Amino acid sequence: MRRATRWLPASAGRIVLAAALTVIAAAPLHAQSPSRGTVEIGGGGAVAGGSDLGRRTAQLTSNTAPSGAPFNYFDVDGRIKPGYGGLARIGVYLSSAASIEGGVQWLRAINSQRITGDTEGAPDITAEARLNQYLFEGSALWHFGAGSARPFVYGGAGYMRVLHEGDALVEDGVEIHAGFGVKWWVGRRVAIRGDGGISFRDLGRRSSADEDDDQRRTVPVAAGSIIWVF
Amino acid sequence: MTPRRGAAALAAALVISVGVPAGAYLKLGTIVGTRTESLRWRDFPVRYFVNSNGAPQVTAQQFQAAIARGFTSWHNVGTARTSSEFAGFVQAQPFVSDGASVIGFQNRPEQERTLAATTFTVDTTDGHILESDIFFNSFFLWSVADAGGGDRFDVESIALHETGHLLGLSHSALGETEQVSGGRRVVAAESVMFPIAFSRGNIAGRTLKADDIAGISDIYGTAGFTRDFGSIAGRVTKAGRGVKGAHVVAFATRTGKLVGGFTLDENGGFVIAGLESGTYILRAEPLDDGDINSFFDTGFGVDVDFRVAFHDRVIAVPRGGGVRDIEVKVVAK
Repeated sequence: MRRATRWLPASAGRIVLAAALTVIAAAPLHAQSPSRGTVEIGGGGAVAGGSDLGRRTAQLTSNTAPSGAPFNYFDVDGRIKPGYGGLARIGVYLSSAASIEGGVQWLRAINSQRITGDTEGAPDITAEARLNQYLFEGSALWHFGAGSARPFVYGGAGYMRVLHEGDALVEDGVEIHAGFGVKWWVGRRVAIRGDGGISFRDLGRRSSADEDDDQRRTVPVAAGSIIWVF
Repeated sequence: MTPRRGAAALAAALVISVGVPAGAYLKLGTIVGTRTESLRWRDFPVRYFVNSNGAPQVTAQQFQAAIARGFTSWHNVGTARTSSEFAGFVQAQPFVSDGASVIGFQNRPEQERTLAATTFTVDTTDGHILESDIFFNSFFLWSVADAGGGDRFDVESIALHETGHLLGLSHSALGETEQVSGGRRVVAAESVMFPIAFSRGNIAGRTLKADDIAGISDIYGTAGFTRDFGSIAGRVTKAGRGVKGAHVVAFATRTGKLVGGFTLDENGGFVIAGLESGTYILRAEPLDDGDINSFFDTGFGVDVDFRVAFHDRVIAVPRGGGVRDIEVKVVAK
């Protein structure tokens, strides 16, 4: 049986913490508290942690009476390696503390399948394929304080679309995310934003006819971007 | 000695067993002019008769019921459209070209390695099946017990295999065997169309596997099958040259399902159809788990001089589409 990963991996905390420390360590130069109606746009880089797809064993039915037992043909350990890419967002402040935003994110990741234990002694091998992950997301943010470094928390949801190598196979589904970050104002209209959190993804909507197909993953995410307000 | 289920297209001036170069594993085919056509029934239901002679501990009625269950398993495949109709008990014997499809026991001690076999009468102008007979060798002991018969072979399991032939399927190589005195013994298989039967008392062969379902759907697929299932096409090569007769297996990484196919030409070309949308691992192996003539005609030229190998890319199969130009590289032993 494949083991589905539904919990935040141990590495998630480290990634989120690293993202937060990176922006907090930088000293603020200017402060700004955008007012209601202020528009904010931004762009930058993003990273999503990998996820374990679990182990699945290719099995034949053994010739044991009366009804056979599993016979291991070979084993496959699957993993989505961390993805890297870019993002663009646009948001609007509802008050000096609250804002909403929408954006798109593109990540390139690797589907990695380690094949071992072949019954006829085939050499172990890792088969891989590229993935292009597109996330169209919407979030609500709540900012704290009024200094030049303003921490915030965010949460939202999105639509995710994954194109497998060759772009022939498309999977899509829903995404829910939450996290925290800091905006460090380096000019009157310009800031550096760092954030990190977790992203829950369910790609089961169009991936396979098999009802047992478990496509739910929880991965750590982090992003850094430059934002501009007007 | 390990009995085998007989070659699918034995006999009688009717048809040559050749692999059809498309689709999941092997379909039966016949040469029509310069073309190779899949063997298939034109009209359904397939009407069949059952010989009224039973076998020790198996009445004709019990035998017919087991045959019907075998047919029903194929008819229940949601992605294929087949049907059959029991037309009655008869005195006629199988393997007589009389225009009627007859299934029955015959005592053939001289075929001490054959549990059952299927023959065809084919319209040689288009490859459609006109008649197909199945004989079960009553030289062996048979059982129709629900839980299997201990030291007897299970009628329903063998019926499922032979009715697969009757519908046009050839053998699958999705299994592992070991050499024993007097022949080969199957260690494990994941297709009821594997040419060597499970041992006495085993009833695992009553259930169709993904490989079987892909095969029958490839011949009689519904519109939904064409719309929702995809294929992988490519080559198996050794030092840059095609490998003929290699067995190629597609493994669905998410569902664990296995569907096999063969390279059927000098270029090492293969097509594995009937695959659910998803990602796949490809494995190529030499055809060394059964007699080659269980799969191909003598002289087909199967290359078994290579090591088992996996393709180094994960292959993504779209719904209703195909992936082409996959090259699985193998090395000589």
